[in-house]
Amino acid sequence: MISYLANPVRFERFAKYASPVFGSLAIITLLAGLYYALIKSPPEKYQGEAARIMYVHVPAAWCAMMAYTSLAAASLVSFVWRHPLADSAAKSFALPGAAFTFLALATGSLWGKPIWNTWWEWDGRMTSVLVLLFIYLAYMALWAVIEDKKRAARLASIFAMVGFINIPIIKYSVEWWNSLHQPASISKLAPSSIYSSEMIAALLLMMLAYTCLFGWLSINGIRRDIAKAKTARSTSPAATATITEL
Amino acid sequence: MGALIKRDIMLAWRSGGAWLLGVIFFALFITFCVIAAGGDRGQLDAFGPAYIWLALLFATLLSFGDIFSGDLNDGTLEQLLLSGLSPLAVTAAKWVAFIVLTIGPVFILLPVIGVMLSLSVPRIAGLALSVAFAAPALAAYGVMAGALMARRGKGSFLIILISAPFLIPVLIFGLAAVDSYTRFGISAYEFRALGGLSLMAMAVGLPAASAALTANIE
Repeated sequence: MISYLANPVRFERFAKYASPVFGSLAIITLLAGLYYALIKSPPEKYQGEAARIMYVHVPAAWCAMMAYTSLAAASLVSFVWRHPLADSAAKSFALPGAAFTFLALATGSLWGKPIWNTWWEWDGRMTSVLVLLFIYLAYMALWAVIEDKKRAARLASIFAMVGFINIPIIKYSVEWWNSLHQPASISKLAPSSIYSSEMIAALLLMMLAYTCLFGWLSINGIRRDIAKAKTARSTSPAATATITEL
Repeated sequence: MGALIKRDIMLAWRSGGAWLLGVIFFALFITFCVIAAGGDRGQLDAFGPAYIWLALLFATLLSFGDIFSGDLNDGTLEQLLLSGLSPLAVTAAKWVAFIVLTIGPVFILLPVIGVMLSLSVPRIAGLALSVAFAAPALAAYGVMAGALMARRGKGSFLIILISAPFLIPVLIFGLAAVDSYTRFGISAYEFRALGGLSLMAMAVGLPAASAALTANIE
């Protein structure tokens, strides 16, 4: 499927339908997820109502890491095959990814205040996610600063692949270091003594909503890039000469 | 490759002392830190190693831009690669030269600064060892950032933004190593962690730097 979409024309045909589908799916699941998260699900057993921040925090963190993983994968494709669409894909993953990372940090901080009694703690998980935000910023800055876009694509993809080291560090930071941040507690996605099935449904819906939002934003980013390349081609007029009879 | 390293060292030696600017900045930065913190000798023992590590970090961060930009701008780099040398060999030579020229002088200054900050001898020894274990990582990420930004020239903030995320773990373990050296000596696990970080940095940073060099030349 990826090799099918690697052609810009075919991608545009796909994106024409995929973009509204992802967009409307994101809105529908977001509304349903918020209904489950805020109204239908019971308060958490130990943390009470404060734990409802989980429904916006966990999907944001998850999407931030997924976005970087996709970015690194697209960078690998771009580095090996020099495909311009992979460049646009990697570039379009960066801004939503950075936004999700910022959201994860901000909501985590809001959650930390009532539960840990601190906005911020310099432990492994928080520091490594902050580092992820810096990596996103550096990646976008590389694209912005280097004028020659072909070279920018090369250099940014190298940087993105090196930056991927940080993703496993984030994942295992809660296990390697003693941390305030709790390890992933919903891993089997089955109801347990702490998590009722409504809570899991709310979390899953929110994750789906964030993922669709990410898909929507990045598809539109790639489309914008293709459109930009098209206009760049069509607006540069060839040298013309008119011969007029005197 | 040996000739390349020798050439870099010769160039630095004949530059009229420009290679010492990094160390002078290192000493200056520590002075600023101590003055800003009030110069209280009781606190210096606790914060001294942190100042020294920060100074080292900034001195190296600010010199990353010079690693390749000079050779790229006057065409030396293209000639070197045209001559059949692999980009990885050029990168490795630059890496060795960076360790010798930028991090090396720090070791000479370290005992003097340690005395000025009234650090105990084991703490100075721990500092020197932690810097030695971290030097390959600092230089490898520096060479990578320098290669990525070779065309942008010196003094760009972006080069700091590019290398800083990778240097954060080095800073964390470097300072932790100083603290546990006084208790466990060289067998403290932080030194092994630093060594591991250095090996990983070489394995990732040097190939990335050589790929970036090729991308900058083509």
